[in-house]
Amino acid sequence: MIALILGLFSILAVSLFLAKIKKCSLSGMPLVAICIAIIWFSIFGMLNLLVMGGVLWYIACLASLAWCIFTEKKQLLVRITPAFILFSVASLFFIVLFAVTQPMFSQWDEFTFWGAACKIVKDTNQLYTVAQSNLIARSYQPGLIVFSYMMQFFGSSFMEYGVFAAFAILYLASFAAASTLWAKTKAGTILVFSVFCAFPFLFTGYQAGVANFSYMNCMADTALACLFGGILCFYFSSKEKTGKSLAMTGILLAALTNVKDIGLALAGIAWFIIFCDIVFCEYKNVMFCKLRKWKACIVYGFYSLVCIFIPFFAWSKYVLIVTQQDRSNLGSGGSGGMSQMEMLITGMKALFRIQPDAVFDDRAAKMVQGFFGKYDGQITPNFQLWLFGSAFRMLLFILVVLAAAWVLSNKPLRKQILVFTITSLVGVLAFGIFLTFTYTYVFKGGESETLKDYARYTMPYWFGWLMIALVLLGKAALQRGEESKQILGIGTPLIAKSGVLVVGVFILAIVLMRTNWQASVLNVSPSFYTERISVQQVVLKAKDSGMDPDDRVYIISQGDNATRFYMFSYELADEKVVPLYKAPTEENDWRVEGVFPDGTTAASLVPAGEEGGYKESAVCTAEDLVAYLKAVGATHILLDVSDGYIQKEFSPLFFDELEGWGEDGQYEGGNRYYEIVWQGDTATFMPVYVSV
Amino acid sequence: MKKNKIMWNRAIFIVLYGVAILAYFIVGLFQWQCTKSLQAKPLTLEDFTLVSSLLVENEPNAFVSTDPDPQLVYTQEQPFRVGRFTFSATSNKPGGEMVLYYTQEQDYLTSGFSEKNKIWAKQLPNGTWYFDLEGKEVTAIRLDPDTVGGVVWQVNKIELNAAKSFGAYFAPTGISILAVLLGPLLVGAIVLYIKQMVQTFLQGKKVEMVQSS
Repeated sequence: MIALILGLFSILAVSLFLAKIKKCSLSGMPLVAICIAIIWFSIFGMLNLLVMGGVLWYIACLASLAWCIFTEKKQLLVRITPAFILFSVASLFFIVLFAVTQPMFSQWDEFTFWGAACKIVKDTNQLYTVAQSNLIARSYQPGLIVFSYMMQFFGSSFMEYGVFAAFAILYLASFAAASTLWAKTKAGTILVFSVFCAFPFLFTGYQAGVANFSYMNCMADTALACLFGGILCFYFSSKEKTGKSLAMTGILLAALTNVKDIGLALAGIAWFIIFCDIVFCEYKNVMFCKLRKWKACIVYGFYSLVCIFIPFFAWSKYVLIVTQQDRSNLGSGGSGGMSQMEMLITGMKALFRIQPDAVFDDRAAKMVQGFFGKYDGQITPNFQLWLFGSAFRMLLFILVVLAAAWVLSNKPLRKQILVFTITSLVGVLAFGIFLTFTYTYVFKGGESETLKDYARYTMPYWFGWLMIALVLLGKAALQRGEESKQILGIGTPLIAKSGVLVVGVFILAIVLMRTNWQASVLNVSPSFYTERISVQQVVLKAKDSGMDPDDRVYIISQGDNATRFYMFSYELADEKVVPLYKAPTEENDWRVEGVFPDGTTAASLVPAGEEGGYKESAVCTAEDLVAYLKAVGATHILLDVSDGYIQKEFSPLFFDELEGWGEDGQYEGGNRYYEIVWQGDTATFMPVYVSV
Repeated sequence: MKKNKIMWNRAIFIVLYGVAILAYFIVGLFQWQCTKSLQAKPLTLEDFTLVSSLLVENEPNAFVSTDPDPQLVYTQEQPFRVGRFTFSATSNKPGGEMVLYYTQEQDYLTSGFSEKNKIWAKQLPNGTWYFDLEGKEVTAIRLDPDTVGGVVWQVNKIELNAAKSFGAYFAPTGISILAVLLGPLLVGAIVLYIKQMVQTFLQGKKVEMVQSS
């Protein structure tokens, strides 16, 4: 917990420093500070100098804090805004809450990549691209992972809840940036900040009786949403579009690109929105690098594009060099994918009917239905974007807010809102098309057909969009009185202020009433983690019977979709867990290549004729397994879950013939941990005992 | 004038926080009051109606779930009050989420148990699962011990209205702490926000009156 607090202090220190040298509002600075941290640690990570990066970062933060205090002393307090205080207090609240309730990872994606990557980076002080692991993908961008590393830098060992705390602090920073406009009114800041904090709960489909993992999952979607929304809220909240605030948007865009593949798309759309606003609305006032008007627009446009593309290409190049894997190979675990460029071109051809693609047409039609919350004509939970249902309803909600803001604004602000509405509508279309390409060309099989996790993947855009709409309504509310009009004798800013109140109370009310608080971040039930805990218990037993750090362990865990394998992989990250057996194919013969490079797994070993679907099972006889274990260099077997096939086919391999395991693989007190003893090309699995 | 304003604003928050902290303890006391008269009642598997689960032959106090939605339903002839329901049991494999449904409907056999009346299990240090209903009067409760199916449960002890220490009634939970910390802040902020809007409106009217006169 101390590590997290120190991490938080470093963010606050950098924020104060930035506010001082850039002379801008402190409210938006935590977000900039976090984005600088993301870029800083990504660079040091790529240079494989994470520890040095951490030491330098914290020294720099301490130095900047000291400098701020010594040069300004009491005046420093003047800079502090209500949003900054709320950010600090809310961050502390989350740190303490998580330290006490200790939520754990529970979702598939957290074990296959997001959470496991954070653990590996902390344990080895190296990026997950180079560290030994079973991560299902090595090539995802490191932005959030290294941010979690920074926050836990001073921790003696990896804390799962530390990842949740780090992510929550990132969300809170963007909420603070979005509350910048209200700096003069504490009441307004509290209201607006609380509404933003409720957004993760707002963007959960309403399902009574289902546990809500908002704020306690480490998948990237909410982070993408907050960064995307945060960048645009930061831009629209800054008073003057001059060098200092514009330069910082570059940093924010670079960090967003560095979060996930789709961060690039979101950063591109954010760039488009900002650029259009500068060209159409801020043309007269913009100043960048001491240039004005069209020169400033061009230089800024170029600068911010560079901020987006350099991190993206640098990372791609880095992954290529380090893993000898063409990062441009997309596909969730499937080889034969295509590069991003190829995907875009093929997709565009399909979209514009130059080269029609039946799969694309099908997914596009489903995306349109999904927009209305339906699949196959039925309202389906997978497509419920928020507590009130479909994306279509959210679109209406956002347009109403924007329309209200437009009506209640003066002329310059009206122009800005109109331009924003148009560019953000273009953006949502572009984002939707990009996602359709992803579902067509990257996802495979059932996941592609059913548009798996549709609500989760579309959420970032809508979340950010609603944030910005509220900020624009806030801009209308905070217009100066002299410039405003009157409707029915009441000044429009006042009407807009009441509009903010109505929208805010509405959002807070539905979140309060429709969120399942009984099973949420505020009420963690140990029964969420029964699978995890059972895996931990098996690991403990194995360690008690004499597991060494040098062991390379093959896990036999029949009957699931590799969930338990990834949990074991996560728990045993210090030891080496061998990838699961997969029957060799024409494209992928481990006998020739060594081990499967694409990291796919087959959870269950089955007899011939019983192959299951993607990822589930692989035909494997005793001879197959022994040959595989030899090729892959495994030294031990951990028998987690057995079944009838294992008992029948594999028990001759075990020295104790799997005594203590029932006919159907029930655990009856038998051994779990076996050493592989080689006699030439044959092996016997000897139970491991601790010598007393 | 300004000093007065700040004092009033601060007073609002102080009062709201005072009310919140008081409410926290009053709620705890009220829950203690509702449940202190309830007698602890040990139950056995025979007291329950088993749905999608079967008693294990030749083994007392063991049952197995036959599909992913096993249910143990308990009811009495009259509506009854429940305090802390405890379930001490071990399973042969991880079962996933354990929840308790309750209903206050008379015709729960037809209307079923609502997803809104659902509590997730918490665990005591000794591993016993528990659910706090705080003295609610119910017509039936339904324990869903696992969401996996094929899980063999070995039951040690089931108790209706298990003993709960006085202090436990005031133990902070995530929900109660956030309510006490954030509730007054938010309510006060909304009150002040409306107050500021009203003041701006009245000032605007004053200016108009001055201008027109």
